[in-house]
Amino acid sequence: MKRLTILFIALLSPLTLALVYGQEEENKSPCAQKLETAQQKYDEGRIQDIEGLLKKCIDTDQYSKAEKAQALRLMTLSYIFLENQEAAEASMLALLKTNHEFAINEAIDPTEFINLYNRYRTEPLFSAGLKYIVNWTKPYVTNLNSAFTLGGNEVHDYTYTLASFGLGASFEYKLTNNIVIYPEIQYMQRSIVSDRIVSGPASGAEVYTLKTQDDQNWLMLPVSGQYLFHLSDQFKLFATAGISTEFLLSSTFAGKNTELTQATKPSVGGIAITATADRNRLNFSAIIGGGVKIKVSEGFITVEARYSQGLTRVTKANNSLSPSDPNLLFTTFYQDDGYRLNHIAVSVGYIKRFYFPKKLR
Amino acid sequence: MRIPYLTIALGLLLSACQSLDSVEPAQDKAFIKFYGEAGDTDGKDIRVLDDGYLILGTNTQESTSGALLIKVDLNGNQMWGQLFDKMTASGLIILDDGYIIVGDSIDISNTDPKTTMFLIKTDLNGAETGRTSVGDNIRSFHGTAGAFDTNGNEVVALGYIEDINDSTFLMGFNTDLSQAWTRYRAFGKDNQRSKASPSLFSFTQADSVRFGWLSVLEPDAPAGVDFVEAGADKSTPSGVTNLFTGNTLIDANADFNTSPVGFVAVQSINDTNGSSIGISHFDTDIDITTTLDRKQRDGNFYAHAVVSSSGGDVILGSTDFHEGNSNRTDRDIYIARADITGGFDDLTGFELFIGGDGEETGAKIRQAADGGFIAIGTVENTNKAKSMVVIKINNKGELLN
Repeated sequence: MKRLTILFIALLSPLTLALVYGQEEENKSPCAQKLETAQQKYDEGRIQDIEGLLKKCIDTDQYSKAEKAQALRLMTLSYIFLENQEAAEASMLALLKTNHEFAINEAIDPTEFINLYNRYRTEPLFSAGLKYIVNWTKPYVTNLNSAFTLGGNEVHDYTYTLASFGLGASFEYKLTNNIVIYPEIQYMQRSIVSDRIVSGPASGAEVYTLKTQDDQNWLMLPVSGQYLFHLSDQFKLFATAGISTEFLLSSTFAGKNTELTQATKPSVGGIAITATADRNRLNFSAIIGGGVKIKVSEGFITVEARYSQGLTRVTKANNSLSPSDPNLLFTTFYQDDGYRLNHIAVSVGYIKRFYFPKKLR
Repeated sequence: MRIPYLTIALGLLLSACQSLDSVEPAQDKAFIKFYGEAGDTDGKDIRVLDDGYLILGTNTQESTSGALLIKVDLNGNQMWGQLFDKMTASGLIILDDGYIIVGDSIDISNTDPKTTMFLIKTDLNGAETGRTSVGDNIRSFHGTAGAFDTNGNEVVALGYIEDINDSTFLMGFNTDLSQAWTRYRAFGKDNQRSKASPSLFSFTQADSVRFGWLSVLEPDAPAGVDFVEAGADKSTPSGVTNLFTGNTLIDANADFNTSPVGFVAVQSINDTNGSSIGISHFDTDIDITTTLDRKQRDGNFYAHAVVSSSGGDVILGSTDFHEGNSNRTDRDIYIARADITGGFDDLTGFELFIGGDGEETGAKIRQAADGGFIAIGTVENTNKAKSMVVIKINNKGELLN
């Protein structure tokens, strides 16, 4: 019984394959069949028949993108060999517009075809994309200010704080095969968190604690240079360095203070003060970072890590004594330190290449 | 091409990267600082030293109080601090070899405790070197201010005795706080009760050492300035009391001080329109030359202290006036400078309103060595905790770093 079954399958399989293949042939569209015929004619050297087979299907948009590119390649080759230069150039341009990433095959493509291809701009003019960003921000303190005293009685403790949301639009312009100019526009949230602990001037005991969080919204315009390491067509590493121009959109200060040993007095909680006017709105940062690019379709998925070092002081020097809302000082006993903002940012995005093929002079 | 890019980027980063260890406190020309221990701390007096400021406050906790003495540098940063238990503070005296705190002390071992005038002397680092008290366990004695008589090398303390007839007294001590002389009930006018304000100062006039201060006379509550000449028999110094216009609010610290052309006093004048700041000038013969009552806007204005400078009189006060917000009733600290002629309605100087939604009041103001002004007061924030506040402004009245 087992032998019979094996014999049955052995006999049936070629038959099944033939039936399936025949069915596929029958399912092919007339234009697809014409494309196969055109390829055969090209191989046989019957160049003059190709335009008649393909042109109508191309003009009436009967092909998939891949089929159309194949058809236009055959059309271009036929025009070249028929010495119809004008038609060959038009067909090549149509081919490059159909398949932005069409690449010649030097092993099989004729020299005339390669020469024609090389007379066109085939590289992307620029790339653009979107990215999602998270950052960890920490001030770099340049001037310690205290509403109490800095004679060893107050500790300012800042930590890198995660702000969960940032969004960026990226642009790339290729300078050389390895160097790309990389301007961006980003909206980013940053949070500055500090703990302040104050000791009594005579007792040395902790008498006051203050927890603060300053939530800031920024519009950033970083411009970077990107150096690419082409590990393969599908995978690239890059290093980045640049300068970011940054506009503070808003700053909202929240503070919670506690007078220790004052059990009968409730702490101030939930106080929120708009402190935007106490900040310098225009700032600059230096950027350094790196990441990977993974090819997907006509673009790249990018994963990037950056360190941003603030170059300018975010807090206004004189507003620590005269804040726009006096309660910042007189309710929370808080004075801004002079600080620049540093952050570590990680982003994930997609950047698409934009091709605008044209004949070069 | 790549190397210049990288060099520039790295250079920018390296210039931006500094160690936090290199950060020094800002060298402020102006500052606002709060000082306090656990509990409530009220600001009382501040003195200008060559290398900083000496700050005095009273710290109050649940069952006790103490005098908090802090020395800070010219930026308001603490150099040292000392808390002296079981007393309240009023005024400071600066000596070559230390400092003296004048205030009150309560003997809690007494079943009916009465306060005594209390003096503590410290060395230049705030360590106690001596103390004394004056009282009789029958009545409460209050120490309000002190001054140093350089001619007699004596410490003079001002106070008042709290009884049915409040009376101001003046007392002399040697620099080791041993008692030198006492003059009770010598001051005031028309047998009215006399309560001394914390405003004692000494000056030399016609080759005689004199002391001046301001008292509030009750029950009519006019303000009176007392001038006393410390003659050979200091237990019977001669003097005069001049009254001046208006009622002084008892709970507001009126003040009296020297000026380039004589003397100046400020007080809180209470009338049907509320409280306003009164400023009176006296010539060197102690005759009143001008008395002005400034009706300021719609709010109440209270005077706490005054200091004269070549640019005019600088008044430390407080007010419940809030520009553009008539709903707020809390007081902010008010600092203003009148012109040198005493014209208070035509300010040639400056006007500052300092404070938040809590209660901020002033206590004393002095001229700093750099020509600016330094004031001490009390901040009661919105959760009712009190701290001393010290405000240093420049001579233009600006809070600029």
